[in-house]
Amino acid sequence: MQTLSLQVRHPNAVYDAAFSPDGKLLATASLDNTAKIWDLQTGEELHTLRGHGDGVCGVFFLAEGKRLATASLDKSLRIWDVGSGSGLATMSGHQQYIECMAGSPDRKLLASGGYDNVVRVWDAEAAEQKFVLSGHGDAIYSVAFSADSKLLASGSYDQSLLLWGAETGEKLGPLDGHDGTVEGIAFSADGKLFATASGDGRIRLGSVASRVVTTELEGHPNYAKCVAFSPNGSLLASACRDGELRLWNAKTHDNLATINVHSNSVYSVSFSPDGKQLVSASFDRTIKVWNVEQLLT
Amino acid sequence: MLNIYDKSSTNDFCDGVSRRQFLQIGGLAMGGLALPQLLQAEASTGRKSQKSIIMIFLTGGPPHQDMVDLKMDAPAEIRGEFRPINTNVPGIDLCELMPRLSQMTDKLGVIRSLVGSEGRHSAFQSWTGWTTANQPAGGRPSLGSSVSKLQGISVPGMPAFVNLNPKMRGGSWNDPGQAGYAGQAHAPFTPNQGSGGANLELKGITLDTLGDRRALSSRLDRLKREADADGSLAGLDAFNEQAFGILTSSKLVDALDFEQEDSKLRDRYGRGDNVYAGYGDAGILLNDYFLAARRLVEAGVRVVTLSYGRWDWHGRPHGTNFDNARDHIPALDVGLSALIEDLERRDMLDDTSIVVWGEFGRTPRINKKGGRDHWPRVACAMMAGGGIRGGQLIGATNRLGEHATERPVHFQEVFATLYHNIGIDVNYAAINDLNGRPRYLVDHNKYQPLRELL
Repeated sequence: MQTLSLQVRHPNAVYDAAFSPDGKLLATASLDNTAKIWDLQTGEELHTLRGHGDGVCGVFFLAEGKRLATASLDKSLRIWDVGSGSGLATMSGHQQYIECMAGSPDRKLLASGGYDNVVRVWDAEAAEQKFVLSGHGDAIYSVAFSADSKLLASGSYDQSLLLWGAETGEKLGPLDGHDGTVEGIAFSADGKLFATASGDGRIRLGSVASRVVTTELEGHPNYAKCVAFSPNGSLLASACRDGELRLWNAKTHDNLATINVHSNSVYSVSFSPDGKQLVSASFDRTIKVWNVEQLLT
Repeated sequence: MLNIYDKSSTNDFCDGVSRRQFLQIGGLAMGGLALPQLLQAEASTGRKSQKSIIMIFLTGGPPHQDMVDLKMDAPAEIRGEFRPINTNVPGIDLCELMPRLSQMTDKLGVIRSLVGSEGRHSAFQSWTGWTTANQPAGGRPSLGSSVSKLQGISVPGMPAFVNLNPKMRGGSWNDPGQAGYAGQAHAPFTPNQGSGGANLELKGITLDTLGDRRALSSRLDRLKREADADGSLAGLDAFNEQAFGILTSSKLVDALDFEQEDSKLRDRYGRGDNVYAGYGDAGILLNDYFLAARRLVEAGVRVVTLSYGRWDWHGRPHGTNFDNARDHIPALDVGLSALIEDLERRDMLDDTSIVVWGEFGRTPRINKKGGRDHWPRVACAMMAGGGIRGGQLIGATNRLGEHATERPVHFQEVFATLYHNIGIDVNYAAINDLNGRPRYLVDHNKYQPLRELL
């Protein structure tokens, strides 16, 4: 079995990649102003989604994989029909560039953040804005929903990490303990842990209940860009700006694998729904799908 | 102009490669000029030369301190993410992202102290050597237009000046090089910009025919032969006849068709992506155009210019300066080293001057978005070929890369060197402006060819 099970590319930097809920499709977002949908089995490019007026920075499957949400530096989010590749809706509201987007695991909500220093929460079905969340003092670099879709975390250039009620928009308080920009956030599947990737190169783990960082994982030589828990919560993946990917034991915090996978910053890592595959998306224009078991051997 | 009938709505080959580069040979844009005028102007010059210039414009202003002048003693907020590497010339180091060029630095002139930038986002100064202020009547001509005016064409059927830019969204960059007071006859051929209108049309040559490039060449040659034979050209004046000759020249078609090259050589050049780089408003990072430039000068074009990539790296969310550097600089390293190597292998390097530069440098201090902003006080350039003495490091900047501390080099000194290499003495050569007043190519009382490179 190959360590690398698929490699595809955009003609410009790639900012995000997401698996469909059934694990059969992959969506990718690029600075080339498009998102693409790929057949994971064959590597065939099924659709190129054109319409955004600037780079696309986020992708997330909705409605059991029948629709796709994209977020763009053009300050808008769009909803697309996956089957036909046609645009269905556009959501506007951000006053500055969008930097990040996440979707709730129940596929009902989207959250986006950017250079207007606010997080906007969207009803994905109605394609309408639900909340505008203010509290950060600078640009929002990362957003993530908890596994039960009830919590939302947002991280900023100002080194703050805030926790919100996803369904209420209520500010629940800060998650303290960061000394660098908060570039990536993830929640564990059981909802007990959060993890962050930070501009100081560290991966931090913390308790959602106590809202404090409890563990710092060192090892990345520089700017950590992204982090993801495996679906069963046993693994943590992280990557940094010069292409290094690390796998960690989420419980013992042991570094299980370190591999240079890209020639430029890795902007996104994500596990497939069955946890067997991991996708990495990079500014080097490539998207690579890895066999997790092989990475660990 | 000559247009080739496009009966379909697509611009792509089935292999995904755009037909645009190839198709537009039939729609050569010439700054709105009718080709006969161009040739009329050429007829006024007699000098023939096989010297050529390739200018690669790094659209947006490359970061000097991340390419040829790394500041490892500077604090972290200035130093950046990269390290220098040794080159094959003791005493000269380059960025680690340029491993290939570092092994041919003995062929390079590395300028660390380029000064005199106007500070505008514009190709104008890099194309002409002059700022936009106080231009003489008609406007300053670009390098290629001046050479075209003074030297004319080198090979029948080939234009003197070709600019390979695609049409760019960024208005100030979307300038293939103005002809100015040299006259529109000396505007560049811009085969990748598309054109409007049609003065000539090749009936019967369709996209289907274009599927086979050699078939097109054959058709063009046959068309010309038929036109000659049946006297169709008899009624045209000499310049229209020559225009027809250039536009139907299979030599020009062939020169632009880099896909004729061996696949391994294209790989060595690095190929690249035929989409707008970075934010999408500037050049494309298509190394195939370096190969096309070589083919054009080999076929007799005197000056080839192109805008390469997008180097205006202000930072997130369009990638940090360093993300973009890791994207662009290795591509430049591959393409430029391949071009130098290829020219040398063909014994053309001494006759072909190459210059690589942008409109200004970048701020020493890294901004909060991981970018570097505009810095007109100092910039960098690389030169090669044209008979220059390689392995030369010219100039220096202070510890933080803020300003030149040794041997400041003005844009016009680089121009004087290029003119010298192509056989034009800037102390004597002049072109009349629209008021009839002779204008020198550079301010020769101040600026002469770089003695370090001659």
